[in-house]
Amino acid sequence: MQRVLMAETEKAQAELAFLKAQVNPHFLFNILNNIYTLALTQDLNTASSIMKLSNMMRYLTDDAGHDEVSLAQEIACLTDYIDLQKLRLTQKTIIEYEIKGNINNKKIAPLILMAFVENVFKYGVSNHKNSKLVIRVIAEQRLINLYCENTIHPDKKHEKRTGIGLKNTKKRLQYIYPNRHLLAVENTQKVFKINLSIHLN
Amino acid sequence: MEKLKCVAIDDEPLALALIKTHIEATEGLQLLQVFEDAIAAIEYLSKYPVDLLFLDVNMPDITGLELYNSLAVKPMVIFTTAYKNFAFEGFELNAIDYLLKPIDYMRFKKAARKAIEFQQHKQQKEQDLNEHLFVYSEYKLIKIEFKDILYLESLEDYVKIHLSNGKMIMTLATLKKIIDKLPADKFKRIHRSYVVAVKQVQSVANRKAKLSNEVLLPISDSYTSFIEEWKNT
Repeated sequence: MQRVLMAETEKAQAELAFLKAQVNPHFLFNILNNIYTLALTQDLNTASSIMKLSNMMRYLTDDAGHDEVSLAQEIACLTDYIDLQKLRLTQKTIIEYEIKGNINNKKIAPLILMAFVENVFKYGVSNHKNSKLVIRVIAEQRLINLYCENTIHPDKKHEKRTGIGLKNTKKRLQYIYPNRHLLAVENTQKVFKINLSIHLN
Repeated sequence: MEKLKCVAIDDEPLALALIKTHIEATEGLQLLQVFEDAIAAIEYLSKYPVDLLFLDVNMPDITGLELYNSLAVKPMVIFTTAYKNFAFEGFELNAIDYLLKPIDYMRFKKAARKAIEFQQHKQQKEQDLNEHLFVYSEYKLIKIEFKDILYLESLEDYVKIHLSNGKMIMTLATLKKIIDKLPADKFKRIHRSYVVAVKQVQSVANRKAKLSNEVLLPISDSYTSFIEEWKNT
């Protein structure tokens, strides 16, 4: 039994290593295409967009390789990612992104919050119907809380929710924060919600 | 050739703005519409004829491949994509081209050129397959089979079309205008006023072509090359 659990966690860690090494090429090249357009039209957001992408890439390829990062770093990555995603979205998608509390002097395992936020964009966006995406991080003394919410688009043809991404993140949470986290997933037919709390030492 | 009527579909506003700029900068392309909403695009395409689609592969509601497959009438397509994966490979055969993002103008122009040449080739082929032409005569639109034509004769503002059944149709047109509607390899000019169906020429003597109905037509100095062409058919 113990051996099975070990094998599972090793697999989860290996998958994380793989995820870290591989930045989603769709995201990267679409963002580059958007920045290219900004540059052609001499848009004032060109330089700041390059900086955001650069910061994000540095975090993913370097800092995220450690067991722990500062919460502020992980949140900076979330913010850059969300800002860059906004370049890609139409007015049909509304984003509510909020950070509450003091995010300084706290540590967290990398890319856990990112995994949930990526999912929000992966499943919550439609160009045909209106969507609302909510991402909220609350930092308390010994607790980090992440709340995500996205509209569900049942007509979405190609991206059926496979649950693999969520499953991997659950495994990592089990491994890194055993008995120290709480994850609630709510899937109504219209909205997908997650609520994650991590207790810090 | 008429400009290719284009529609561009991409879920991202900036990506669409880029394609729009590229299309408008390219001679031979005419932009009809752009769509961020692929579902709305399908609706549009079912109503209006389009020559060329610029179609993003990865979109949130439906993929570009699914969209293209769903179309009853399939225009030429140039796929645009941020990242080329395996699922995409087989599809290249049916596409004029695919463009990888970021899309630079020189590469775009190359793809557009391919589409324009493909269209020209298609139209030429259609013309070659045509076996008749239409002319107006005495307030009627008349269909004439190429195989029934013996020769054309110009007469001031009119062209007389002599047919193998002995009939003659007179239409208000220049000889040049009628020639343009005929397959160039089957009809040759032999004189300022005459064009013959090469197959109908039975003999040539003393700069005169004798047709199957015994009619003799003059071959003028400027068109003596006809004799060589006729010999080689």
